[in-house]
Amino acid sequence: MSTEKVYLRDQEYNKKRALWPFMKRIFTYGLRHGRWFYQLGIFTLFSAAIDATYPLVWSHFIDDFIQPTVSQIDSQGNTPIDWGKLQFFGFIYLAMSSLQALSFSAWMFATGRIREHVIHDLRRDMFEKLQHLSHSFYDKVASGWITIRLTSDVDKVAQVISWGFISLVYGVSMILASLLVMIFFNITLTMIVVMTVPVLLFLAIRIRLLLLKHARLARKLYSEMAANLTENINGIEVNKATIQEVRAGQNFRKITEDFRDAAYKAGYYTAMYNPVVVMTGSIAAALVIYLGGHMVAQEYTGVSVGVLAAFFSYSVMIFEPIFDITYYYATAQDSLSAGERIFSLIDEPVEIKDQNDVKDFEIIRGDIEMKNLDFHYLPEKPIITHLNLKIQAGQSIALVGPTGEGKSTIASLICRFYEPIQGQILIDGVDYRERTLASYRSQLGVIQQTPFLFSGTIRENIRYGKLDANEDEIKHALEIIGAYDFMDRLDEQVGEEGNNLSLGERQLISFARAIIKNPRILIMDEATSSVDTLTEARIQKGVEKIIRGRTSIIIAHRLSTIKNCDRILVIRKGEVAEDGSHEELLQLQGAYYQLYTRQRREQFV
Amino acid sequence: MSQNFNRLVQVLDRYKWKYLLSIILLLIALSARVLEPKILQIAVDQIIASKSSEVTQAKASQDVVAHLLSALLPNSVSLSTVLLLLAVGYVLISILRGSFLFTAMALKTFCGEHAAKNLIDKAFDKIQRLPMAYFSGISKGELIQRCTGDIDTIKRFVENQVITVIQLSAIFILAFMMMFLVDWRYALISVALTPILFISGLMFFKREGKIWLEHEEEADKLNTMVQENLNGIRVVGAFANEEFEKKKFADQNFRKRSIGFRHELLHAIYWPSTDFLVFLQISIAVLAGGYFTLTRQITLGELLSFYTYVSMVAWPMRQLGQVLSEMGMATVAMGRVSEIMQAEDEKDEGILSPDNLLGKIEFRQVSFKYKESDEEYVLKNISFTIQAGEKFAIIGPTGAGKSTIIKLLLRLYDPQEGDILLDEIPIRQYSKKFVRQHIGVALQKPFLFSTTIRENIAYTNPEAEDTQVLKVAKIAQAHEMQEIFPQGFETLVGEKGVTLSGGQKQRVAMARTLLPEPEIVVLDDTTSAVDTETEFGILNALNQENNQKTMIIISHRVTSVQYADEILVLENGTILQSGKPDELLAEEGYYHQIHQIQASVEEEISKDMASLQSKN
Repeated sequence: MSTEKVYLRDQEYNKKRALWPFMKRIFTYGLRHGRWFYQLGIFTLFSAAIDATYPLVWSHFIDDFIQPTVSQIDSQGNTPIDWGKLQFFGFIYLAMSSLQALSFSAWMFATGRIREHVIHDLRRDMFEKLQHLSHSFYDKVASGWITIRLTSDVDKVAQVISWGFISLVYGVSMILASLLVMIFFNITLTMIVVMTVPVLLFLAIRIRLLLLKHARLARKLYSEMAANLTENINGIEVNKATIQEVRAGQNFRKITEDFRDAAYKAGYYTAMYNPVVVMTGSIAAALVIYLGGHMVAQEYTGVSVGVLAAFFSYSVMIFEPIFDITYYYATAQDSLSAGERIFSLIDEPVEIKDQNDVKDFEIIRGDIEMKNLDFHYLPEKPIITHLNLKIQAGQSIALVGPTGEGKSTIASLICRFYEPIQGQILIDGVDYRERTLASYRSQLGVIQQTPFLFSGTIRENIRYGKLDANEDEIKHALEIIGAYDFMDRLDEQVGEEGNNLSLGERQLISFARAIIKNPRILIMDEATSSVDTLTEARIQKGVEKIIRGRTSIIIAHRLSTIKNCDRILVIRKGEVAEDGSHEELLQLQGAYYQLYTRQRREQFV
Repeated sequence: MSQNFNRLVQVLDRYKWKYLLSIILLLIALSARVLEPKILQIAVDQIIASKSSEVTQAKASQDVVAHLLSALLPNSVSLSTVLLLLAVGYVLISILRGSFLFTAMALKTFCGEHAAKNLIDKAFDKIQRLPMAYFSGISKGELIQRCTGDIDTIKRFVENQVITVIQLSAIFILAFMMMFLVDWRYALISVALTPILFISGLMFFKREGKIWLEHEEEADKLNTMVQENLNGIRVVGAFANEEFEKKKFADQNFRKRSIGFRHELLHAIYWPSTDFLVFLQISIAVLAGGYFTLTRQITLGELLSFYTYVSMVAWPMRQLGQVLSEMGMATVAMGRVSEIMQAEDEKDEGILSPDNLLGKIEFRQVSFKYKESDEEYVLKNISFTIQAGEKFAIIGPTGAGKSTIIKLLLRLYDPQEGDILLDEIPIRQYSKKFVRQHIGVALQKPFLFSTTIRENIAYTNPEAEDTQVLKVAKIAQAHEMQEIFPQGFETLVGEKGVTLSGGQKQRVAMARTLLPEPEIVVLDDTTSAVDTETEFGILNALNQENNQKTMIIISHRVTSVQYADEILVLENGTILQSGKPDELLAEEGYYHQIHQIQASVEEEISKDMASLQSKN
């Protein structure tokens, strides 16, 4: 299945990015946890309202309490202090602080919940989809890219609906609440503060987007840098053996230079962000001092020292919500491509799945028939055209011939890893698409060229073939393949991808794993070709034992291993060129004869 | 600890003066910021003074700063002019603050990025210079982590954490000073709760760090699970174990979410409660300020400026705890990075670099183990000679020490005992560069870089001619890849492009080895994933091309070694047999065994042929 692989390419997302559909989609994820979602919204609003009220209380404190008292002088030239009023304001402040803390806690808790829930749900949806995608999907996409979707992409997207969303709600409600309070006091001063809002928003967003552009570039270069570093550490032996250490360093410097420059650019705009907004905003604050000061001095109605102080506070405070809103906008923009990657994976159509109302396979006999089969990976490169082939239950079939002629494709089609583009594959006379996939695969044993083991014990790996297998069944499977020495080693850890074991040992375990469920059809794709001669000889004995009594499809390079098969098919250009037993094909003196006799050493002298 | 801190300063290297400048600019900007509230204070006091003629009412600000600022205002002008001047002053201060802040921040980023780049470059070069033996003591993943994660931590420290600490402390100190100058009692009341804020911040982030680590662990487990699942996805499908995998994933996903909840809960308690403390501090200051104003100890304007200053002292304190607790990570990271930097370079004390190499190799009683602490030697007292121009084969089961011999020959490692001679001169006397230039090794597990096939073949000489590349590709039987892939030799390999099969990788790696036309060619099981027919093509082409050159072939296949001049059978680090193929055949042993297997195959072929002929 390796050589006919479709040319891999990263999926590119060049579509015009639409923020709105993405937001709608991600919010449905948030709304699934409606309780937390509403809690988040309500308490953030509440918090913003309290924050906007502080200057209001402050102005009352000054105008209704401090200022009048200070102006009153009793006969001794002292000011009578109204302790009750001081207590009253103390109570107000304490109440606001407590409410603020409680509300803060409530929305923060809700935000955390939503974040974790959304991360959890997105990961689950993607992972479950991944389990059902067929080989054609995995032919196209590198696994590293999928991993990124399940990790950093998810974190990024979850931000849009949790912390990022808080910024938006808080920012908007804070501005609105402040406006409300301000208008209540004085229109002119309000206008001064309000005027700055669009200017500030415009500037802030412009800088943010510039920052984002460079930050993205820096991120991309960073991963390039990390990849280059990783490669040159993993390939250190090659660099040393070929004396390329210095040149590797020079190449690396080119990347780090680019990264440094991009990162500096991003830092440059980050540095610009705050000062520009603050400097622009200071004009509003200065106008408040000037005009407001005049109003106070000329005793305009409604403009007192307290109001002046409050407006000064507002003109300074207004930066915060603007930062918040811009932050949200940038977060959403930045997560857009991550979101597209995630949702395109979740929406990826499953090519091979059960059709509606199909039944399970009963226990099958193992007859296989291919009728007028057409198949290709790429339309311009047909692999199989009009293949007709009948295999009787219990027969052992060898597929031989040069690489790239369609042997592995036929095996994959039988496994239903791919489905025929035209024509049918009948199992016991029934098109396998008219039965469920699971009931078919559970009667199928597949052994691949490079055995893949999951981390865990040897026992767990054998049991992977039959999840409810008991100890006897495991032992029995090992007996069949003649791997007695594993019986005492069942609790041994195989390591990551089986790295603690030799290739031969791994292959034997994958034999046991395939055989434990007593499959009716067995597929072996170059199962012994990557191990050394002595191990191969050992495994070969196992092979002979396990093919007994089941339909077996065997692909092998070394013909000595398959000469006892019932039928040998020579596959050329997706067609059966020769079909017969070993003796029959030798008689033919055709392609098989050539391949077979070529195994002799003298051939190469 | 302090040593690591010094190292952190050294990281800045020649950028340290610029960095210092950025700190000074930052301090100026912060001082400007602290002046801003004073403008409001003076404005209000001036307004009130202008409104009331009573002298008793207007108690002028006493503090130095307000005095100085007020002194700048011209005497006996109208209030309107004063307000205008104050407004302009406010804008000027903001501009001063903004532009200095911008310059300071841009400058520190400049320093941080340059320093980090130089650090990672140095680490990269250092790793390339380390002897191979170093890599048996540390995993490559760990090295990569140190060069990326740890250097990031160091960069964050230099670029952000130090600056943030300075910023927060300076704001606190400056704002406190401003208040102190007005009224020291009031100033102390206004910072009364800040020590609690600071300490609770420190304590919280210690604990938070632990939970965070737990959280990361669970997240890592989840990622590992995903990666494993994806690598084995075809196995999952083949066994119809999708539901089992989903269940496994759901469990871990649930665990990750639960610890995530715990982590978020911690924050949902910490931040609001410290927020409460901050607001409490502000409330206390407001009420106390009211009292001080009413008792005429401070002016109304001063009360207004205090209101802003209280925020300036209270908010930074809870952040300071966070930054300080995270700064510890930088010294740990620095320690790990310097561990690499201080390791000893691979030495190249040899000087010999003769014009030509005949290719005679001799191992004299060589013993070797990878780590001094290992009990068993990998090679045990090995002696053998390879004559110049000889085709020499080494066979034996996995783990016999075959590849180790080659690593010693390339001087990737040096033996603990014994000598290796190249053209009768101890190999240590040659420069390593010479040895590696003239001995070309193709390894069994070929490592390809994720560039194009062509760039991989021309790895040792990117300027190589196309004809040269094609020539070695033909010898290695890799030229067919030109047709197989739509983009031919320009096809990207690895994570960025196509995944080559084991045999394809081996052939590309072999072409890479052959490109510089080495005097001695070593094939370390390089054809194990190539079919026998292709293997013969390779061996034939090699023989033709390098007839006079020494060749070492490591293999486990009879077909690859049967025409060698000499075969060495290695098992468990010792030489079991050696001799010409025919001689070995006469003895019991590994060669005999694998020969038997091949022979029986051929025997059957002969039998088949015989019966075929008799039938015809």
